[in-house]
Amino acid sequence: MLMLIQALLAGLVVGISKMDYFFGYNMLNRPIVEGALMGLVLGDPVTGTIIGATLEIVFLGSFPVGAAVSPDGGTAAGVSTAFAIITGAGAAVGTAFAVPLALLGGFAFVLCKFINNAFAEAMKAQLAKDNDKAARALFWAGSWIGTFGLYFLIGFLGVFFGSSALEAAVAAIPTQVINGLASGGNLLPAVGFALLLTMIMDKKLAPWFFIGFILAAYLQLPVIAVTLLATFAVALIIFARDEKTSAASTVDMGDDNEF
Amino acid sequence: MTMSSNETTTGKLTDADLRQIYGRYVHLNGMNDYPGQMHAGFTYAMIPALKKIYADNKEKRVEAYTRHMSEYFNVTPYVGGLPLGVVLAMEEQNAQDPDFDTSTITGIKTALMGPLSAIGDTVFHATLRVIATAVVISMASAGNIAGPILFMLIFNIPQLITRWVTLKSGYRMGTKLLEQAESSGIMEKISYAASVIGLAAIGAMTAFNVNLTTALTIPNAAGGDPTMVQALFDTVCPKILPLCLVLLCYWLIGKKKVNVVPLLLGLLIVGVALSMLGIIA
Repeated sequence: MLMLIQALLAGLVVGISKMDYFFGYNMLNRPIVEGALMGLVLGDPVTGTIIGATLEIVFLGSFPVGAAVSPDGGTAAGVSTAFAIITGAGAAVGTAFAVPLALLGGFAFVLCKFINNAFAEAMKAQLAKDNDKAARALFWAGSWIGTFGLYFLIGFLGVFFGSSALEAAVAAIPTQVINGLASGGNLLPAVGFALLLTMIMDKKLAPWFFIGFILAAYLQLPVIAVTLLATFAVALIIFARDEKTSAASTVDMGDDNEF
Repeated sequence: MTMSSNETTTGKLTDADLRQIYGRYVHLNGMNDYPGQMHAGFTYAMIPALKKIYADNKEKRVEAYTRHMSEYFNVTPYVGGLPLGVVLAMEEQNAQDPDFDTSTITGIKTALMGPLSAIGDTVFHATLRVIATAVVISMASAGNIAGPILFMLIFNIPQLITRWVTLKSGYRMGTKLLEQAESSGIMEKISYAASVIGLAAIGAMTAFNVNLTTALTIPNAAGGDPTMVQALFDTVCPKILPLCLVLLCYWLIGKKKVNVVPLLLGLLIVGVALSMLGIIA
């Protein structure tokens, strides 16, 4: 019974921490915070804070920037802390499972995004009917079910079935599949960019897409530099066109085809 | 700067409206998904404003809802107020002007998110987060729970203020710019510029944000080390694989009318399979 309650509490902490995304991307899902929070809820904030701090350094460089899949150090810290406190093994043992847990948490987010997409589609359908109240409800439901629900399960099941079961489960997934999921997940942003292209690109403008790509791929210019270059290039073009139109009103219009 | 300021902006939306949007904009990243990323949160944040802007035009209101729901949006959330504010100003213009080209809104939105994310990720994720960690880490390593609490405060107070400042200044700038644009007829130029900058930004993001490399090798007949195909690509045409993938998706969505969700699932499955076969890394 105690085990069940502890597992429920752990699930709650892991789920709420992942709601970081909903609560303003406020770092609840960082190891240093989630470890401490788990410690607080399970009655040993000192161990939790120590594990969180240890894992924060491990995962300092891993942050979900952009659209790629990245390891979830926060979930790792939360579940590791729960293991350490429940088994009484202390902070040293607690971090042993951090890396597989972080991978699990990272891949779960791919699943989470697919769940979210189902709600987004429903939300779009309601908005197409001008039903903004239903859209609001769907946004909240999607956020809580997709993110809280999924990560609650990770925390709950992880703690309930224990570290050995978790270790076995992670070990049972071939590394090839894990790597494959990471590679597959990294392809998905392509669809988002393609969607944008279908909205903006036409034949006349298509070279700009390739210019942006070449500047980034060959010259390694950061996105911000590419955008600034494009801004000034388009300014030049607009100025040149203006001069041309003011000149064309006095001279003939025969030669506006030099581009 | 502060949320209690009562001065009214030149547009239709009052500070009270902007505060309501701010309350929703906090959840911007709440329902992040494939392929739209933050599109649902972005639309969700704007709903009250769009209701006011298009109060007497249901058709345009619904068009704005579905347009934003259909468009990829991704930005460092803390600076997302800027595109949010600018877009709202443009939607106001669209409500008044029957000839307004809504692809301008898409263009501006897209043009802003790349550079803003570059700044936002550097300032918030790479700098402020690391500073906050550095300040509290020794405290936290000793088991002092004041460490994580301080960490949250150091990070979140600036980010919450930045959200408000960017939202308000974005709306103001957008409103001002568009008022002038209407009178001097430069809307067409803004539209053109927005498309150009947006496309260049998508081109650059294709190179940086789609991670696809091949693990294939060509055996060396002389018995030495095999040649890495990716190394050839890197020399001759770097990032060619992400480019081809984006163009393939563009063709499938635009020309073949493939739906997005099957495309995503298909891509994921193909990605896993190719990775397990050792074709992609």
